[in-house]
Amino acid sequence: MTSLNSVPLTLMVNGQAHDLELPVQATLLDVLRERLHLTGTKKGCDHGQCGACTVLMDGETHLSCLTLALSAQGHEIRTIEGLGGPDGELHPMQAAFIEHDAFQCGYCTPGQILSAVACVEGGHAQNDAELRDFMSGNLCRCAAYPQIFEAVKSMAGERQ
Amino acid sequence: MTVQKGQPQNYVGQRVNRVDGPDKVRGAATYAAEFDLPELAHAVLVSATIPHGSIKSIDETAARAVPGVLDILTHESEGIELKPVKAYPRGPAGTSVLPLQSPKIEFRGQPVALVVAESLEAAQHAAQLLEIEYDASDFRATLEQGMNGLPLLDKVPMPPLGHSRGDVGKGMKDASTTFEATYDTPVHHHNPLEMHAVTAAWDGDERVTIYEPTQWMQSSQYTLAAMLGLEPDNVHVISPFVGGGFGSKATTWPHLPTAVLAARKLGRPVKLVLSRAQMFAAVGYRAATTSAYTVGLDDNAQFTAMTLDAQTQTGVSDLFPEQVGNVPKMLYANPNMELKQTLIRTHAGPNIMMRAPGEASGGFGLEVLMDELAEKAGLDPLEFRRRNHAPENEDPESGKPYSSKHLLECYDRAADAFGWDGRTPEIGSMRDGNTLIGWGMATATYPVYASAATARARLCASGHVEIEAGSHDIGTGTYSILAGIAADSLGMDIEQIKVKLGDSRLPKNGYSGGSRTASSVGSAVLAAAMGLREELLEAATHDSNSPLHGVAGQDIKVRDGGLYFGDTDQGETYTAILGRMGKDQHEVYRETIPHEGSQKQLDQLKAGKDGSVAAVAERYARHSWGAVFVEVRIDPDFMTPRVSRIVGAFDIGQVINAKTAESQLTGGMVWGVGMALHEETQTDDRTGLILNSNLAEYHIPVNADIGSVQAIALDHPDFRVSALGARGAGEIGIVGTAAAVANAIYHATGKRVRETPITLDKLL
Amino acid sequence: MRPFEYARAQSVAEAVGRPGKFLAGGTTLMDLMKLDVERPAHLTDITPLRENGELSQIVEDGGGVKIGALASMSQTAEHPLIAERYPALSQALLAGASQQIRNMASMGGNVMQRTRCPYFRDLAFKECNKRDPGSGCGAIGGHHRKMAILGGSDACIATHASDASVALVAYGAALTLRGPDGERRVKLEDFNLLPGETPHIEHDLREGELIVALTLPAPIAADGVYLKVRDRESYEFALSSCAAVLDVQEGKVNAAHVTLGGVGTRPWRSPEAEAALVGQPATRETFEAAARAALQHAHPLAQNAFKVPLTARVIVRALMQAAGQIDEAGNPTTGANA
Repeated sequence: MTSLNSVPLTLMVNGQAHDLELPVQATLLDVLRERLHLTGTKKGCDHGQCGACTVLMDGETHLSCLTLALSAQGHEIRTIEGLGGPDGELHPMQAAFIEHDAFQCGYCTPGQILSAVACVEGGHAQNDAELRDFMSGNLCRCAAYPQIFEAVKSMAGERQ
Repeated sequence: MTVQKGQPQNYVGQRVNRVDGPDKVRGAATYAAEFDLPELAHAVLVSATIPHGSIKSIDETAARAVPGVLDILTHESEGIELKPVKAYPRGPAGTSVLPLQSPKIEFRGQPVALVVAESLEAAQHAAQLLEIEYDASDFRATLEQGMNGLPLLDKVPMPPLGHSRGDVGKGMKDASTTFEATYDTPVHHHNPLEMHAVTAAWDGDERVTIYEPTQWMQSSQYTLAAMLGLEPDNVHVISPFVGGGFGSKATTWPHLPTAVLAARKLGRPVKLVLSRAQMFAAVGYRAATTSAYTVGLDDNAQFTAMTLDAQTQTGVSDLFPEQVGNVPKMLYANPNMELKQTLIRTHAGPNIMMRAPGEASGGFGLEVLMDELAEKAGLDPLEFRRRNHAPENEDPESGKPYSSKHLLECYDRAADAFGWDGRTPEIGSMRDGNTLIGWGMATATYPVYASAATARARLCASGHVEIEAGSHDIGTGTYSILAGIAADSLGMDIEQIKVKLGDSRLPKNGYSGGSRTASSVGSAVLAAAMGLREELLEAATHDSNSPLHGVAGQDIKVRDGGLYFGDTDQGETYTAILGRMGKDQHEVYRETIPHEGSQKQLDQLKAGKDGSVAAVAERYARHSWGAVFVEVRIDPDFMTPRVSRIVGAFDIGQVINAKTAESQLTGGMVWGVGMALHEETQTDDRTGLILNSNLAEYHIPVNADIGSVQAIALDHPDFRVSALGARGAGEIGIVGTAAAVANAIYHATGKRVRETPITLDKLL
Repeated sequence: MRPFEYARAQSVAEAVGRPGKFLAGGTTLMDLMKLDVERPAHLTDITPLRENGELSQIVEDGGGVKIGALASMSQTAEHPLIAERYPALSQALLAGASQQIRNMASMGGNVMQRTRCPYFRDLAFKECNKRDPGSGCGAIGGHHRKMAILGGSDACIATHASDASVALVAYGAALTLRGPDGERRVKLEDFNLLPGETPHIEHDLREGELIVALTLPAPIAADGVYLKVRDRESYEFALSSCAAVLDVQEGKVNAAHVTLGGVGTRPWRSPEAEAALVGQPATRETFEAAARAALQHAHPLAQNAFKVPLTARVIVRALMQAAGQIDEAGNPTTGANA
C-alpha cells in the first residue's frame, strides 16, 4: 500500500495531464495553487463560502476547495488560465469584466468570471433576478456587484 | 486639471479601463502567497482558544510525528526573541503584542504556535494535533461586557479626542426642543477576500525579503526591522497586488514575525497564509461603539447644542480609538458642542481602522439622529439638513474656511437623480402592491489626509516610460490612475506607461489608507513625469541637432510620445532625444510635500512613519462631501429589508479616472448596505470567542442583495488640497449610507432601529 | 485535515459495507474534515457511481420518481420530472445552495447535511453534545438566534440546515438504503432523528449502509411552494421556510403536506398543521389556524422567539401561494378570491 503522504494520481488541467504524488487529503485547490502553480484559482475561505476557488469540472462550476484532488481524477478541469485563447486572447467575458470595471482588487475575479461564463452559457441570465442569484455564489468584498451584473448582462445580451 | 493647461486630457478625468485588468482577469496577477520560491516550506498558525489567561502546557509529540513536519515554534522555542515595538499611530505596527514571546494570552485568537512542514497538508494536519492546555482567566470580550461588567480592565477617557465649543448648557436652555438617543454599532471585520499571508526568505542573517499583501510596505519594513534589530533597508517588502485591504492590511500583525522567525530558524523560505477564521483573530477589526446624543433645536429647527458621549471598544495593550466624533463635531452648523469619548478595553484583541474608521460608525448615529429630528420638526429630511448646513467659509469645528465645499450641490444632484420629490412623508405610504417601499437619505463627509510622496519617472530606449512608486494598488486603481497621470503629462499612450508599485525599494510612500493614495502619490508622479518632460524639453531645445532647437518651451506641446512645436509636425519623439543624449534611459525623481505641509511630513515619510497633514490644516479645513439616497423594499409579512436602489452624489475634487472612482464610490455604498443590514461579528458571552468567524455566517452582501447603485461625482477640482485637485474616493461612499438605509426602513415601516445590523427580527 | 485510508468504489456492491464515510459531493464532509469535526479513518469515494450513472439517474417510478442518490442538486432541480411535478423541491434546491455547490452536492448527501450550529462547527467551543456527547450545549445558554424552536431537547437545539430535505419530506420521500445485509426503505421524515438525549445520532443509518436512491410518491397536488426567509437574499441558510403542497377541490382543502425548515432540529413535518387544513375551506383563516397548530409546541428561547411569529407568517404565505391565491410577493393573483 502506498503511503498516505504520497498517493499517485493524474489530473487533467486545461487539457494537460499532470502526474502527481500527493498527500491523500490534498484538495484540488491546494494542488492547483501549491503544486501546479496555477495560482489564478484563489483561496478566499477554504470552506465553500466565497466562490473564489471556482473552477470548471467537465464544464460545470465546482468549488476546488471542497474537492478532494483524488476525486478530481478522470475529470477535465479548466481554470482561469485555460479560459482565454491559445495565443492569450481574452475570452469575451474577460473582456467584458475589464470594460465594465467588474473588479477592483481582482482576487475574486477568476472565480467570478468562470461563474459568469457558466451563467451565460447555461442560460441562467434570463432575467436580472436570476442572473444576480446565480452570481451570488461568488463574494466580492470590494463590492463590484453592480459592475459584475452589467458585465454578465452585456454578455447575456450578446448571446440572445 | 493642471497636467497640461490648454491641452486635451486623454486620460485624467476620463473613463479609462484598468491597466492591470488583463492580468487580473487572466488570473496572472501575482498576489503575495503566489510567489514560488525554491525550498519553500509551509506554515500554519495556531491561535489561542481563550480570550485571557496563559498557556499551561503544549504537547508537541503527536504534531512532530507527522511526516514532513520541520519545526514548531511556541513561546518555549529558543532563538526567537523579538524586540518591543510601538503600535500605530505612534509606530507603524498594528499591535505591540509580540507573538510567541510569553505564555500570556490577552486576546482570543492570539497566535500561540507556528507549525512548519514540507507541505501545506502536513502543516495543517500537525496543527490539528498540537495539544495546548490553558489556564483561563476572567475576561471582558465585548464592549457591553467592558462597560457593564465588574472592573477588570480600566476605561480610558480620551481627552485628545474630545471637542468642546461654545456653551452647551446655554445652548440647551435656549432650545425649544431637546432630544436624546443612543446609537450602537457592532464589531466588524474587514475580511478582504485575499487572506493575510507572508512569504519570508532570508539572505544570510541580516537581510530578509517579505512577500506580503500590504497597504503599507513601510509598516512591515520598519516594524520587522525594529523587532529583529535589522537595518530597515535590509528588509525588502514585495507586494505588487493586494487582494483587498480596507484597513486590516494597513499595518502589521503578529503573524508576520512568526513566519520570518521560522524562515530564519529553518534556513529556508517559509510561507504562511492565515485561515479565514484567523482573519477574525489577530488582524484588527472595527470596534463596537455606542454614541449617546443630547441635542437642542430652536423654533427654526436649527441646532442650539449637541453633546455626544461615546464609548468605543479597544484591545488590552494598544489603544486605537474608533473616532465616532469625527463627523458629528463638524458636519452641521451648531455653535455649542461637547464631545467625549472613552475607550473600553476588552480581550477582543487590537482594533484598527476599517474603511472610514469613525466616520462610518459615527455617521450612522448622527444621520439617523438627523432623520429623527427632521421628523420631530415636521420637516423633510433633506430640508432639515439644508437648514443646518454649515457654510463653506466656516468649519464648525475649527472656524476655518473649507478648501472647497459643494455639499448643497450634492444634495441637489442626488435628490434629482433619485426623484426625491416624489416621496410622500407618511410612514408606509409608498407601496408596490404588498411590498412596502421606503426612501431615506443621509449626508456623507470624509476628511482629506494628504501625505508626502515620492516617485520616479524613467524614459527607456524602447520608448516606454516607467513610473516607480513604493505605493500600493489594493483594488483602488493606483496602477491605472498613475499611468493616466503620466500619460497625460508626457503626451503618451497609456500602454506606453509601465507603473511599478509594491516594492519597498521603489521611492518611498506612505500607507494606502484614508483615501489618500491617488492624490498624494499622484502628485509625486505628476511632478516626476512633468520633471522628465522638462528635462527632455531642455535637452531638445538646447541641442542644435534637434528640430526644436531654440524653440521657446511654452510653444512646445507633448503628443504622440514626443515634443512638437504647436500643432505642427516640427518636433521629435522622446526616444530620438534620448538617443542623441547618448543614453539608454533618463530618469527623474521627485519628492512632493502635501499642500499645507512642510519638510516635516517628508522627513517622517522617510523615517517610515505616516507623514500626512491633518484634515484641519493651517489655512483650510479639508473634507469631501456627499449625499446618499436609498430605496428599500420590504415584505410586510417577513420584514426582510432589501435595498433596491441607491443614488449618491459626491464632491471629491478632481476625478482622475472616472471609471475606477465610480467603482470606489459604488463599492463604498454597497459596504454601507452591508453595514446597515448584514455585518456583525458575534461573540459568545460565556467563552469570549467569536461565533461567526467565517464567510457563511459573517454576512457581507451577495450579488442578489444589491440592486441599482448610481454614483455621481461632481467635478470641482480642489487645488487647495493637492496639485491634482483630487481629494479621494475610497471611503466616503460608506459614510452615511447605512443611516440612509435605516432611515428608509423607518419610512417604510415606522420602526426606528438605532443599531446595526437591521435584521428582520428587529423589525417584526 | 487528517489523512485517511482512501478507496474509490466503482460500483455500489464495492461500496456498501465499507467502514468510515462515503465521499460524494464533499460539500459537507470536506468542510467538516477541515474543521476537524469529522475525522474519518476511512473514506470511500463514491463519485465514480455518479459518473457511471449507477446512482445518478432520475427516472419515473410507478406514479412517482426515483432519484439516484448521487444525482446533483442542479441536475435534480432542473430535471423536467422534478421541475414540473415537484416544483417545491425544485425551488428548495435552487434556494438551498450556491450554483457551484448545487453542481457538487448530491441528493443523498443533502439529506445527510449537518447543522450550522457554531458550537458544533468550532472545536474551540467545548460544549456540544452532538460533537462530544455529555459535554453540554453551548447554544441553549449562549447565542441561539438561529437555533431550532421545534424538536429541541435539553441536550441540543441545533437547526437542521437542509432546504431540499424540507421539500422532500413534504412530498413524502423515502430513502433506499443498501447495506451488507441487503436493502431497506425508510421514510425521510423517520430517517432524521430527534436529538433527545442522543443528539450525536442524527440518522437511521447503519454502519456500511449507503443511500442509493430517494423515491418520491406521486404528488398529492400539482402545485407546491417552497418559501424561504433569510438574512441575505441568496447564498444563505433559512431563518424559516415552509414547503407546502396543497390539493384544493372546490374551495376546500382535500389534502395537505406542510413541512418547515430553519426552525426544527430536523426537517419539520407538521401533522398538526395538515390536520387543521384538511376538510377546511382554503381561506386565510384556515391557514392561520394551521400555522397556530404547527407552532403550538414551539419552544423558543430569548433570541429565537422571533421565529414563532415569522414562521406563522411563512406558513400562511406559503399556503396562500400554494392555493394560488397570491404570488411570491404576496399580491393577490388575478381572479383569486380567498
